[in-house]
Amino acid sequence: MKVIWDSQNEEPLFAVNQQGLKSVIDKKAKEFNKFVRWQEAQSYISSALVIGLITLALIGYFSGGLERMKGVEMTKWDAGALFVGMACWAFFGIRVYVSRASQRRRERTTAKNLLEEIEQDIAEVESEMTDRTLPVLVKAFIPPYTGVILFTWVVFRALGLPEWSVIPFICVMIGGLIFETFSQQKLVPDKLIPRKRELESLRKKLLESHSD
Amino acid sequence: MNETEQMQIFDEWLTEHRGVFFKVVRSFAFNSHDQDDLFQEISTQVFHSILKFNGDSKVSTWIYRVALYSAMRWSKKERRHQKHHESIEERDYALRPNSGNQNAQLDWLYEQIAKLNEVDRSLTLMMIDGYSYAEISKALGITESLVGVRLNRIKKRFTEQSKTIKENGI
Repeated sequence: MKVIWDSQNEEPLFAVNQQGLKSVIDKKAKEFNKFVRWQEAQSYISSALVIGLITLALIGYFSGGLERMKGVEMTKWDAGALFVGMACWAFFGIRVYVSRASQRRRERTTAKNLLEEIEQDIAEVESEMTDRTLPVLVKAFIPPYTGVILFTWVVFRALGLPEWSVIPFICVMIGGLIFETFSQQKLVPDKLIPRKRELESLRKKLLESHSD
Repeated sequence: MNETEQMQIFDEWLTEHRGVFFKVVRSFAFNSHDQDDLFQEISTQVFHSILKFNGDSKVSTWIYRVALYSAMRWSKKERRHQKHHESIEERDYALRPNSGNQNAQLDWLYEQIAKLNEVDRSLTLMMIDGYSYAEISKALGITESLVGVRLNRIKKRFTEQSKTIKENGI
């Protein structure tokens, strides 16, 4: 058997298009990096944007600039709402950063063997599933949505719009929150559970003493 | 390590250990499109794994482990996406079967390997490539006795199959 097997070392089974392969690897690596960076950028940019806008509004309020420039009058309650909104978005940004940093740390861990690698992957899928349970999702999404609603409420008031006019906006935001939560939860049965089952089946096959 | 250095190491690994890539590809994929697809997948995974390689094992063992795990996962994924195949002519290829290589005995051996489940295929590949039970056990993370039990069963199965082949005059 060994002699038959080793015969392929003299005449290779395949011909490699080295240049084509390099471009495939390069393309896949770039696509992957772009995807990861874009995901992170979305969270950081939106956090920075909202925090920046709220900071500007607060500066305008405390310096009296808003009132002088546009005749906009803000109450202490408005300023308080803006502070809470800013804190919500800062919390969201920090949460995303901490979660990405911990994911990167986990990815850098080298498994000692194939079984350990499968177990690490199962743990990763389980952690993704936990992140998509209703309480965790609500905890994750409530702060940014609250921040946007508070900011919009203050802006509507400052523009002199009637208070009820913010209600349709709040409804849209609640709709968005429900949709986003539902979409994230749908990933569990659609992608994560099948992936977990595959990995568990591989682990089982690796550990069983009889073959099928 | 920057990407250029990483690519340089990948080139060296591919040149030196291309046999491992080829053997895993041929054992897990059975037409030229799939073989090309799996080769690309394994190459990408090996390329990324360079950053994790800490020299605790031999490079060839590391490549085997990464290649086998990629192939096992690819097999599952491939079954789900079989309907979405594009023709090999529609895209750049990285791997083509070497038409000069015609060896009936080797084809038979690969056929037998293909009949095994993903894990037994992996054990068999490493065994025929000369890895000891201890090395296989260390790479896969299962006990040496389990490796022994399974490989003995596979060897017995291969021996029986080869007898049938001889009896039929193939």
